[in-house]
Amino acid sequence: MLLKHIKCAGVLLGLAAAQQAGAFTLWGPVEAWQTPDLDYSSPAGAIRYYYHFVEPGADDHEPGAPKNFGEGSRLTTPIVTYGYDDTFLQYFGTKGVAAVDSAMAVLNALPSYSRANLANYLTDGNEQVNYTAQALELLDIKSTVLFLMAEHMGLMGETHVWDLAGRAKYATPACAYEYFTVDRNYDPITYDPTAYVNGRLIDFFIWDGCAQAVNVGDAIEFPADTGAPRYTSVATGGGLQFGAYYLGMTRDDVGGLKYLYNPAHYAFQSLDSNSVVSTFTSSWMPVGTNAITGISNFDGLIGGAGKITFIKVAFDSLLNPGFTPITYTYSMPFVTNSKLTQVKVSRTITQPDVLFTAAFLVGAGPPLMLSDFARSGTIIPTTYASPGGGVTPSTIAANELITLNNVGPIYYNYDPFFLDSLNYFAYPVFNWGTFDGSTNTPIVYPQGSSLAALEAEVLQGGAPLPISPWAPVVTTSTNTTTGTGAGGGAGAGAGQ
Amino acid sequence: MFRAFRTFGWGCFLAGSLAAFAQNPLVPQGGETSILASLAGDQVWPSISLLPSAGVIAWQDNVIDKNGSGIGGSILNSSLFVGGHPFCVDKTTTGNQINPRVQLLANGNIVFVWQSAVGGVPGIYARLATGTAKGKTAYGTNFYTIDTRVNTYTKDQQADPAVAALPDGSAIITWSSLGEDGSLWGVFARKLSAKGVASPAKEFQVNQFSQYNQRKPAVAVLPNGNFVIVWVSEQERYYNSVDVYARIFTAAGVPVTEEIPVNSGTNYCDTPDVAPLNDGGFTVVWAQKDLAVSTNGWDVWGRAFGPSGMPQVADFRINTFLFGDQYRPKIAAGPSGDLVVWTSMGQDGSREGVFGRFLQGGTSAAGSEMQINTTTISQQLHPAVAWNGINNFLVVWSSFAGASGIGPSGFDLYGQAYTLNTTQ
Repeated sequence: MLLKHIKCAGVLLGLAAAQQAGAFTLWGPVEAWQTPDLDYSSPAGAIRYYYHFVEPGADDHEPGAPKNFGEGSRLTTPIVTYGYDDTFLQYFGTKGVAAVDSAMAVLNALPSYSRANLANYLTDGNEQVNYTAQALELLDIKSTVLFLMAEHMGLMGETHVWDLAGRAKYATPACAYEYFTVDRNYDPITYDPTAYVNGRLIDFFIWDGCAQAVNVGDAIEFPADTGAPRYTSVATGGGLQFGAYYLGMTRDDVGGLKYLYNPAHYAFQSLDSNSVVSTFTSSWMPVGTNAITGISNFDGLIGGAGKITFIKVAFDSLLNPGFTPITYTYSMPFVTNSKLTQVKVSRTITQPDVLFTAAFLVGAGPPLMLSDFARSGTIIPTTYASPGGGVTPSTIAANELITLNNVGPIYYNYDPFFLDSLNYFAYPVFNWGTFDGSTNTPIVYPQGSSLAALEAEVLQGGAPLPISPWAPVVTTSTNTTTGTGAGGGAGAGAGQ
Repeated sequence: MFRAFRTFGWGCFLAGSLAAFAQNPLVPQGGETSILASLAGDQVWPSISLLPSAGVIAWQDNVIDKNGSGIGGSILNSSLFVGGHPFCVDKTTTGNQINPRVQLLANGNIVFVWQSAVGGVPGIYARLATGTAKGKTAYGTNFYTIDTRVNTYTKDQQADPAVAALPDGSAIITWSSLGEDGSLWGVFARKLSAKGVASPAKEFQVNQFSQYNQRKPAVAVLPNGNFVIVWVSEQERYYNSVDVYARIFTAAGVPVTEEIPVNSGTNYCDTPDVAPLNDGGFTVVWAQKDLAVSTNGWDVWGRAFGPSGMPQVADFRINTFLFGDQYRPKIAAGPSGDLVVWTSMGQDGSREGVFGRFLQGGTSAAGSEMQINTTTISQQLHPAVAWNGINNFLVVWSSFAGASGIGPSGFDLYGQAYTLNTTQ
């Protein structure tokens, strides 16, 4: 057993010896070995213990699990529509719509991914900071949507540069484990596994919850420098700091898309259930026998879509529940009997593929948790079953429901500290915003929230707070010095 | 994605936030002072350079050039307050201009250096202005060059500029460049004459080991006119090593030494800074991650070297408050020692704070660790430090000021001056 470990370590060292500039991580359906005790989101969407409880703020639940090279899932449609329902429009209004639209514009401005010159995309400095927004703990909607779409297209974040592939407990002493660690991070040029992301060295330590009676271990990544942000790729959900905003996609994000959506990158995949192959031509078949029409649930060796274009469609679930279906027609590369051909696809949507909504997303504690967003989508498993049991790419369905937390400005009190409104830290914990490096004052959601009021609350601490419909809720406490604190409630901290 | 409170645990630091000034070699001169008064927007990442009679300050500003981030500048008077109105340094305002550095030159002129994406891919730019006296009365109009691109390699991005003044009135500018040395980031340098002419024709490579990353350089001019550049190098000693190296050059840019290992430990190192010693040597400070006690995060370490680059002492830790991150140190040399300042998370009871400590003779920590910012609520960060040549260290930093009464003013620049304690 010891010899096997030494061999394994040697392989990792050898891989890391090659010099790469950065890398991307792919995702797909959770495999049987990717279990909760190795800290995967297993089943898909489940909590990753470390990132939920120990170091909250990174990617604590994910739609799938990281994949080895050649196994990553992707969309199989070049057009993805998106829209907003009434909950989103009510809370975020036109400025929120503009923020999401601007994220989609960034993605639409990318060239065909396979022709992208990676040198045109930043490795360093893509995440800029609006310092006022940072002090107010505002989270940028546009940048968040960029992450969500990067994930939707098949990229995963930097909490999977290093992953556990095995964790075995010795009988004694207590909490003695051995681990297999794997690199799930691939260079966009050489496709080699690498410890670098956007030119930045990422190391790890193995955290194990055994001492806390938690049956989970994980390889926890950390950069070998003090720089902020901790993560650089847009595909890392927890990488976006409060007050930070992305200038665009990073070099490694684009490198990942370039790999996934290369038309010459074929994988046995399915088209989604909305797609119908209307024409199928193959140059090797005799003329007159090669037309195949009307195939639903088409699958086969499909090439990459080249690029994903995001198109906004009108959708109002309240006023117009009868969405007018839209049909898009396009070609996809296809290989049959070793011949390259094209299939013509007609895809009809009856609602936006990606639907943005808003809801109250605060989790019961302890510990208290709140979620910036929730999302749910569909994976279409590959229909190819390898005799050896290996994994091939699956298809990410174009549809995804994205819900942004509309809790509004929210504050934190911590018993026994800061028990009353005269002493607590009136720090905002989280709020949606829209900002950039310009002189424009950050937009705070919902529209009507006041940046100046937020600033005053941060600076005044326990001083009387301005009367606002969004005044903080005060923790119920026997030490509360006023009679208005019991039960908290809007406005309890104001005017005292 | 669930996001928990960044505020968790801040309260735990309150009890330990009291700063001790007793027996300190430095004495605060007055209190914390607003350097520029309250300006609209965020003034962050300050850089300062001082002379006995005056000084200059530069910073990153999201208002001043009216086109995203720009570089602000202003002249400081002998009392270390602003003597004139803030002015915009960058002439070409397209794109973001960030990471400013400023340096008074031997002839009294000023060089501003910064990182700009004006051409799409970030590069290093510089601009020269005449001396401070004119700056007091003709602020913003005393530039005698346009924005000058310092780097010639333009195939990929450059970052993290640093600058020092050479005895002949020129400046030595160093930076990180991606791909130029054939492998990820490398460290390069180039002189900029007092007339704004860069030389040699192409920047010279500072690092000898070029595999993986060499990044985040700093530079100081030594008493004999040579200069020393320090930087971070990855995987040079062994797999996954991240260390600090130094190399001495003549004023003409000719290497005097090979690469000099700075730290002796095996923990990760980052963000080095360097200051000259009176004996011709230099002191290097850097952030170093405590890999043994993960809750301690990053600490500030230092080490002094002789004129030839031989270490004079073993590495020593400068901060005494260990919990959490103490990072991005800056150092300035005074007559009897150096002042090192850094950012510390949570130590002042509220997010980031600015702390510092005196290094006696540049070789050992002396006195207590000092809390430099008086206002503690919210964030105080990005400290810079300089010595005015006669009696004062000045520390400046960026502090969240919030509403000014006339609208949101975000972060403003604050300062604290120190004199040497002569009663010890």
